[in-house]
Parts: sequence; structure tokens; C-alpha cells
Amino acid sequence: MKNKSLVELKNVRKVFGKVIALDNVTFTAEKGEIHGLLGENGAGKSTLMNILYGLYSPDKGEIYIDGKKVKINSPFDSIKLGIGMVHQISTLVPEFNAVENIILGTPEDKFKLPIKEEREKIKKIMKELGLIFSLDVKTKELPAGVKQKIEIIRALHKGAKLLILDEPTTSLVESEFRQLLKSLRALVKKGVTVIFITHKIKEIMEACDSVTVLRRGKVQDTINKEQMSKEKLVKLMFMEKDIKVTESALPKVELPPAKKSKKPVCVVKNIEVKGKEKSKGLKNISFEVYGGEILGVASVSGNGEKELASVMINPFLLSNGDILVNGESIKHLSTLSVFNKGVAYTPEDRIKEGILNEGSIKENVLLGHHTEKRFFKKNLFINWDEATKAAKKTIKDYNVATPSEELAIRRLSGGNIQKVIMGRAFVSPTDLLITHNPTSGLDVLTVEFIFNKLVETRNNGGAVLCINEDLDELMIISDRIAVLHNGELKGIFQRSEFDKYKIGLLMIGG
Amino acid sequence: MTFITSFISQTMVYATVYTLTSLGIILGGRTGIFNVSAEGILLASASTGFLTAYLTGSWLMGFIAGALIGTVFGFILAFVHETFKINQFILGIILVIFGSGLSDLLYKIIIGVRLSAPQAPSVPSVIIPFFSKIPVISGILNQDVVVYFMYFAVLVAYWFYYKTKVGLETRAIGENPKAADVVGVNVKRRRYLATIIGSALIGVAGAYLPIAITGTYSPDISAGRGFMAIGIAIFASWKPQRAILGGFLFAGIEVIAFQLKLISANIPYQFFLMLPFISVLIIMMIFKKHIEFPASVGKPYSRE
Ligand SMILES: Nc1ncnc2c1ncn2[C@@H]1O[C@H](COP(=O)(O)OP(=O)(O)OP(=O)(O)O)[C@@H](O)[C@H]1O
Ligand SMILES: [Mg+2]
Repeated sequence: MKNKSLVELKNVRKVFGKVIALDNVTFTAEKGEIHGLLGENGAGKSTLMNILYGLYSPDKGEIYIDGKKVKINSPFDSIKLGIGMVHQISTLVPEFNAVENIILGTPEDKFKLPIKEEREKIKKIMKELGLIFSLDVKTKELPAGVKQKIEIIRALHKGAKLLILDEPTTSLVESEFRQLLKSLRALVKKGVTVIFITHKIKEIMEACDSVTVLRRGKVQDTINKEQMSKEKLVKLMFMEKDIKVTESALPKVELPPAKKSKKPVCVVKNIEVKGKEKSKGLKNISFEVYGGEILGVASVSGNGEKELASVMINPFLLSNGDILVNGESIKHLSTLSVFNKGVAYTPEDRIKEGILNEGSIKENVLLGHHTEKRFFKKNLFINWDEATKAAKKTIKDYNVATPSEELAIRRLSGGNIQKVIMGRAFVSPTDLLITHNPTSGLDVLTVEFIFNKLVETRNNGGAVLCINEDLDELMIISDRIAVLHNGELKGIFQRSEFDKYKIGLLMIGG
Repeated sequence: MTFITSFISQTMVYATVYTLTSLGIILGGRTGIFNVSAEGILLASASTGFLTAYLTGSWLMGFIAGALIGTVFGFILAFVHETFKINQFILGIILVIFGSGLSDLLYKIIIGVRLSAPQAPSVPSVIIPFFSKIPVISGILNQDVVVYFMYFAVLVAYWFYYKTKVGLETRAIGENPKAADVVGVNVKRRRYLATIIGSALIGVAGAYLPIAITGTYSPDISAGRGFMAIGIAIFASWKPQRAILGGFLFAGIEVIAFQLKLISANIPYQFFLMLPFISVLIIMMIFKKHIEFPASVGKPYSRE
């Protein structure tokens, strides 16, 4: 019997410099299914789908659509073949509204601009999928979840019968994921095929009819729904590794009883910060972080957590109140001086705020430490030998997958970039670590690694302030959880009082 | 009355140079290619345009030659940048130096040194019956065909960017080339086209200087207007409809400075030459908050 596969990639190979991103990969998706593509960070998931979409050209391999061999040189070709893709990082024009973004690139009527007619068409698609959002706002003002909907509609508007979603859930909360799932099911009913890229096992189990697991550029296996189990998928993803996972497919870590310091490492006293754009800022917030504990801050994005993270390392943002580190006020200190007081920081947006894109791993490891004695000769020159040593140590301690510390950091996968940023925080002794969404976009293995690093810091007497959207994660690693809503502190819970429902309700203002 | 009429008339002539040049820069910039070589293109096309017009006796041939030289410069800029990813600004400055050297060289080779400067054939004017007799209005209407070409170019550019889908896509490239690429727009081709057409427009402006304004070629004939036009493009937030405003504004300042120079004997004339540049700075400072930039200007784009 002839099977009815929609796409087939055969023996695909892709090499970036020294890195073999894909090695002899064969991938098939059947018509009308949601097909998962699962793999750890850097497994090659995005690369494979970018080849199918025509953004990357393969070094070797063939592509078949509906059983016919095709040549795809650019997205122009793939769109014509009915392929649509929503990329890992938003590819909308921030200055354009939804309609303008969606009609971009459709071939007919190049010298007309039929906004009104297109608007009606777009509204029809939105209705079919049960999606609602404003079409007239510049997309830069929209939250990530809405941008993603716009990208999905953009693909469908161009007539996609195969929709590729590259890690669509990274910036979605649980309820948005449910809604996305519903829309995808509606699409499948209409005969659209979906390829769903993720590194989250839980999502594969819930969303996909079958799944292909990639590992280090090779296909491990393709299995269908009946054969799926958490344990099996973990095994396929990581092979020799044996990780324990919780109910929600997060890594399990041991949290020994806290050995809290007598005096707090950090005292935040009645601080107020003005909010940017729509956020309300921070209103009269007070809390303490002790040595030997992890204080989690739970907050739905946009409720003051960005301001909290910023003000901790940039006290100039304070419009009222004070912050003490080791008993001294940091109110009048520059960011660099705050770092030199033993504070380390890992930002939420690791690409924009965490790294110098074009810089090498070595330069990025040095960043923020560059005026410390060991890296600074005669207060003028950088001691590159020391910097190299520090970078090599970070790469080793944090298992950063890279051929050398001289590599431009942007070449690393998201997980490896995050490891470098984490490593940088510990290049010098750290009393207080402020970390914002440290695990977003990372696979279980890397999440486990980062959890362990945070817990290790705590066990060694360090104070950790972990601001995180994901309550499940906070409940695993925190000694206490503070809840932020609308710029106000709604309460602080001890570990013994953790209750997902109660805290979750507070997070949304209930 | 005659003073006002001649002020308006002169302003429009210089506004043509400024507007066409900044429009050319805007075209490239909207696809992410910042054409800082405008000054070099103005000079090279002034020289070639003049020589061609002089030798053929046809003003039109002069403008065509100017546009062609612009095309060559635009192609070099786009090709070297897209192929070797060399920084646009460095490349632009090199082209400025190249253009200014080339312009004098060509003139010296072909014309040499003469006692009386050779004159270019004049450009025909558009005469609209009846209105041409009324003062002031005649100053506005009685202009050569290139002034009308400039209006036409601004109108077409406006229509293109805001009323067509290709224009929307072209603006998208300037904001986020990846966004255009993933919807099937050929970013590279559009960048080539925009830079080349833009440079051709600058070439027309260059040829206009000797053929229509001074009547002959002299070294450094563009006098920094190519750089001022960059200021106009920025001041205009890369919008054609605003570039023409800026063009008139700067031309007006220049003409005023020129007139003041004639009537005031005590102040060194260099002061008046400086005026337009200082005004640019001041105007930029005033409008700083209202200036927008296409996000990808100056940045190379590659898929992998
Ligand atoms: N443009 C590029 N230049 C160089 N190397 C690259 C490039 N894109 C990807 N790589 C490398 O190829 C490998 C596969 O990367 P890819 O982005 O496909 O991984 P992924 O499975 O999508 O991971 P993630 O979950 O982090 O998104 C990685 O080692 C990465 O560093
Ligand atoms: Mg990826």
C-alpha cells in the first residue's frame, strides 16, 4: 500500500563550519496529523525545518512533497508548495500592524494595496480558528502570544497546507497553550498538517499524533501516540542519561533543609519604581533574601517583575526606598559597582541583554568582570591570559558545547548561551545571584543542570533571587515564594505552605 | 517683487538638487542600504553629465549620462556590500573620495584648462500660458523640466511606498529583512534595485548642478550637498513626502545665506557658507524626537 505522506526529507546533511548540525536525517510527516519534532537544545530541529522552508540550503539530501521530488531554494518556493512556518524568534515587522504583516509577500496584485478586502479574508480565517486580536495595533506593542497568532494566520493566508511551528510555546502560559492546541486541532480537521517543534516532552504527549526524536543531528526514532511515554521520550532524547522527571515533566532536584544565614544578604526596603509603557511599576515592595536560600518571585509577565530585576542591578531606577547588600546601601552605585559588591545577574532576554552577539565566548565571560583585579593589568589593560583561563573553566564546568572559547557566542544554541551566562555569574565569588527566567527555552537536561547550579549556590551559603514566570519550576527549587501582581507584593509563602492553586490565583490577582 | 520671485525661483532650483539626492538616499535606506556616497555620486555625475551634454550638445544626454554614472556607483555599493559584507559606511566614504577624484580627472582630460569656461546647453523650461505672467506665481511655475521631474519622482515614491504591496514589502526589508525574506521577498534583489535606482536619481541631481544651475563644471561643485542630503533623509524619517519639505527648507536657507553674502560686506563670506550646515544641526536638534529610522539601516543580512 502506498502511504500518504505529505513531506519527506531524505538523507539530509548540513554542516555549519565545524559543527555537523544534521547528519543523514530522514523525516516523514503524514497528511492531516500533528507531527512532533522533539530534541534537546542544539539537536538540529530548527535547522532541519529551515531547510524544508528554504531558508537554509542543505549540503546533501532530497525533499519530496506529495511524493514528488522538489527543489526549494527560498521561502518563495516553499510558500508556493503550501508550506508555512512560524519561526522560533518572531519574524514580524514591528512597525507594521497585523494586516500589513499578514499580506506581506502574497504574490498577486503587487501594485495594489487592497487592505479592506484582505482584512475581511483575515477576519474569516481568525473566526474559523477562534482567534481574536486587534488588527490595527503595531505588532511591536503586542504580547508574544498574539504575535504568534498573527504569524500562524500569515502562513494560512498564504495557503499553507503544512504548518511548521518552531517552539511555539516558549513564551506562552498554560492557558494560551491550550488555546493554541485547540486552534491546531481545528486546522487539522480542515486537512492541514502541523509539524510541532519542541523540547518539552509534556507538550508532545498532549499535542502530537506522532513524534520524531532528533539527537545531535541524528534521528533517534519516529513513534506514534500509542507508543509514547514520558520515560521512553526522555530516553530517546538523551540516550545514556537517566533523568528523573516530575509529573509536569520537569527535572527533580533534591533540596536539603535550608541553612539560612543569620543576617540577610539583601534587604529591599519600601522600593518604588516607575513602570515603563503599560506596566504599573513597583509599589512599596519590601523583602529580604538570606544567604543559603532561594527566594522565588512568581509573577505573570508585565506585573512588575521586569522592573524588579532591573532595579536590583540599576538602583538609579529607584524613585523611593532603598536596597541593601551585605548591610550597605547600593542606592547610589552604578551597575558595575553593584556587580563588584558581589552581586551577579542573569537577564531574562539572554540575546538582547545577556550577551554581546558578535563577541567571542571569552569576551562574553569577561563582561562585567573586566575591572576586577585579576582581569585588569595596571588599571588599563585587560589580562587576556586570565580571561582565557576563566572562559575555559566556564566551558568545562558548565558543559558548554563549543569547539573553542574564541567562537562567536551567537553561533551557540540557546541552551549553551544560557550556560555561558550562568557561568559568567560565578566567575567571581557571588553573594547574591539575581536570575530572571533562567530556564526559558531550555531542554530538561539543561534545566536540570541550571536547577542544580542554583541549588548548589544556595547550599554553599549564597543568596538567590529567582524571578520566574513558571510556577511549577519555582515550586521545585524555592525555599520561599513571593508573589508579585500589578506591581504589588501579594504575599510570601514558606516551602511548607506551597500550594499551586493558591499561589497561581494570587498571581492573576484572585 | 522681483526679489521674492527670484528667491522662490532659486530656492526651487536648489530644492531640486536636495530633494532628488535625499530621495535617492531614502530609496536605498528603506531596504537597509545607507548610501553615504551621495557626495561622490553628485560630483562624478556632475562632471560626466556636463561633459556629455557639452560634447553632444544635448542636455538630455547629459542627464542620462549622470544617471548612468549613478547606476554604476549604486551597483558597486550594493555588490561589494552584499557580496563581501563590507561596512556600508566605509564603502560609502571610499566612493565619495573616488567620485571626487574621478570628476576632476575626467574634466581635466577632456576639457583641460581654458580661459573661458565651456557652457552646457540649457535645459528647456515648462511655460504655462497666462500664469507665467503673474509675479511670484511665475517664479513657482516657470521652472525647467527637471524641477517637474523631481515633483514627479516624489509623487511616484510616495505612491510606491504607501499605496502598493511592493512598496510595503520594500519598507518591510528596511525594518526587518528576515521578515521580508520568510514571506518570499527576494531581499537581495530589492536591495540592488533600490540602491541602483536611488543612485541614478542622485546622478540626475549631480548632472543638474552644472547643466542647469551654474552652466559649467567647476571642482567641488556639489559643495557638501550630498552630505546635507543625508541629513535631510534622516530629518525626513526616510519618507519621500517629508524629504521634499526638507529639500525646500535647506534650499531656502542656502539661498538666504547666499543673498546675505551679497549684501553684507563686513562679515567674512565663509560665515555664510557655514550657515546651511549649522541650520541642519539646529533643525536636527529640534526634530530629534520625531525622527524614525528603518531598523535595519546599515546592517548586512544573511540567512545562515
Ligand atoms: N547559522 C548557524 N551558524 C552556525 N551554527 C549554527 C547555525 N545555526 C545552527 N547552528 C548550530 O547547529 C546546531 C543545531 O542548531 P539548531 O538551531 O537547529 O538546534 P535546535 O534543535 O533548534 O535547538 P534549540 O532547542 O536550542 O532551538 C547547533 O549546534 C547550533 O549551534
Ligand atoms: Mg531551534
